[in-house]
Amino acid sequence: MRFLFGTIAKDLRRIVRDPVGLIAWVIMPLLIGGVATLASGGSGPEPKGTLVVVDRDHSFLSALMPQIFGRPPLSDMVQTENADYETARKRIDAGKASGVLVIPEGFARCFLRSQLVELTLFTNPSQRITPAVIHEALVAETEAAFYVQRVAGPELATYSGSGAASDAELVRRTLAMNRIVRKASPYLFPQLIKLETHELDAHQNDHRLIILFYPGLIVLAVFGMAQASSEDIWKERSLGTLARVRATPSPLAMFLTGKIIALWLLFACLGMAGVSLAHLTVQAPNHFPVASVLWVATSGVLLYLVAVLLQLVAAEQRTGVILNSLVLFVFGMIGGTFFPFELMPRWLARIGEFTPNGWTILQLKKLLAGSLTAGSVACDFAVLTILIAAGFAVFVPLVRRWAV
Amino acid sequence: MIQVEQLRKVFGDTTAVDDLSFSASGGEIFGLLGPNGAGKTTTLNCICGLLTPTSGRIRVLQYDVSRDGSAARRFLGVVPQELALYEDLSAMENLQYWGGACGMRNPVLKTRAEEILAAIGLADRAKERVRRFSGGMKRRLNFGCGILHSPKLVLLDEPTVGVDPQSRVYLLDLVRAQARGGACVLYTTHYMEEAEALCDRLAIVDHGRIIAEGTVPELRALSGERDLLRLSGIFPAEKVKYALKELPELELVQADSNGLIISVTEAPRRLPAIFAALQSAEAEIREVNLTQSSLETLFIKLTGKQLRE
Repeated sequence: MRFLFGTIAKDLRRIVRDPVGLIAWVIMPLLIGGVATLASGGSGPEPKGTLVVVDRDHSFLSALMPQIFGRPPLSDMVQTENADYETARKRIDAGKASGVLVIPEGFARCFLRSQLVELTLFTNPSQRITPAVIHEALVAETEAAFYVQRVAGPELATYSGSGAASDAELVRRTLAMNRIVRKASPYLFPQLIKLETHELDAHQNDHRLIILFYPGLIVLAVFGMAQASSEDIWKERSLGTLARVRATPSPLAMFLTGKIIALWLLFACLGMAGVSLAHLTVQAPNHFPVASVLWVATSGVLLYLVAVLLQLVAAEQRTGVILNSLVLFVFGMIGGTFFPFELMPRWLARIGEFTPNGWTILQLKKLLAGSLTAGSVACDFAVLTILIAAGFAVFVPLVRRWAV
Repeated sequence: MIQVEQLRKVFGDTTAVDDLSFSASGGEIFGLLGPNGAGKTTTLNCICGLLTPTSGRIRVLQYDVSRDGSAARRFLGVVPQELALYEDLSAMENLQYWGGACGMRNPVLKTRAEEILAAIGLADRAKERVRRFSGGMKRRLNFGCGILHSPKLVLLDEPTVGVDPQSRVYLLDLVRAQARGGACVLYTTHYMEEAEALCDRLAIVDHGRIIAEGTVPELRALSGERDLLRLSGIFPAEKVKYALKELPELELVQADSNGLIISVTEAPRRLPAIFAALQSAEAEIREVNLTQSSLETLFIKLTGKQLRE
């Protein structure tokens, strides 16, 4: 075991004392992240926009429509103002509004009578995120309204009829509405709205580029470092240290395990820094921080094994580097490392999800979003461990033959 | 201490080591002398388990290397031809790492590393990174890493290649000290002077085979105390052979139209007679080189080529 710890310490020292190649792989994702942030408007954690509402109906229902933006988290991103149409157009043309919502006259009447009613939303073409948030929020709201209308339409319609109802009629309508409201409560009550808002929040995150990018950027850094570290096997061979290890009584497998543990620690530090940085700067979701860091580090080992096995099958170092660059480029492009899956055509994203880095990113995103159960996390780690064990079982004998 | 019996190692169509046998005991410095590609390093690699022999048997102490390599390696100290050191680590860190690989533990390891640093003349640079060392200093450290754990059998693969004279003296003294301490030293080199000065016994290796073996005086005797005369110029081969045939105690080792190698006793005294014979054979002599009896003359006599070719 002393030799194992000695090898870990030795490799960590070597990395720390000659970090240039590895630092490059930290800088590159930061640059990409920086560019992505600038491309998304360079805003802080929450984009803030204005929705100007042109209410031509002036009814109770039309007044309800913009209130969806009155609750967090949408209230943190969108503020609403009422104005007439001319003023609203001037504001959006001057770039001072993210969108203009026009509620037509007769909106409430049409809604209550199950008639088609059309809301018009003008969005600001110079902005990307806030208009999309407004759009999605309103789509969700109109869908909710649709369900309310479908479920309670006949009862609602009676309120729009003329003439006062008798006491008995009022009691009957009230009881009927209570039944409907109970049935429709998932659509009507704040809990449901909250649920819809939650969906909107997830969607809104998808549109915040840096949040889309950062899991891929962490994996890019790990992938790049894994690849750069894989070249060390050539260095060990040309120095003669690999042969020297084989001439000692210590097992080669322990030496290689030490190297891998040193890299695991490096990847864990990188994962911790990446996840923490994203959480602290853009409030990126981070539901399972420890599992996420462990995932980054352990999947980094798998990426290292892929890279180092490519080095070992190459006839010379240059060929190994070219092979690895090719894999990094192709897998990086389709595996969600350079471009998030969400911005890819679906068919390409599906292919990319099967690359080692693609799978890593996919599971990392799920971990960060908290959309995995403990069982599925354990299953993913088990699969990863099996893949690493299989890779290691090939790695050791290959190095043994290759060392001399 | 070490027994190599009928060792054979084949790489594809190439036979690197061919039926090679020798043995050496504790306190002895045994040299494998031969040109590059003779099979010396392959032999050492088979001994330390880096290569699996095609056939033959190697025993280190009581252990068969093929069957019980790990146990055998506990008694081996290997100083490879390459500078097998981590340049980003300091001299002390390298020694401690390789000592750990050989099963040493602190505080013995630390004490021993300090002793070795003093012995190789690097005590004052123990904490300095190896990257900043000269070639000679790296060689000395490379040597130190191989002997740190006081092995019973030390394998030295051309440890003085590219070393400055001061470091060479250091290294050779250290090798002698190992033998004096009771270790068996297996030393490969293509420097004859070094082999003659250092080794108790020698095996001259060429094309993977031992072509001569013995102590230095025994090997010198094999060369017949003859000097070696190398001539370059234009030599009509048949006429030259005929002319030299008449001279006593002279052997034509190699002859072609541009050069001759002649093994002869008392060469300085007999030069006029040799030149006269060559003149009668219509030879045109342009350069003459006389080497007095040595291991090199034996090597040339046995192989027809120089050791450094």
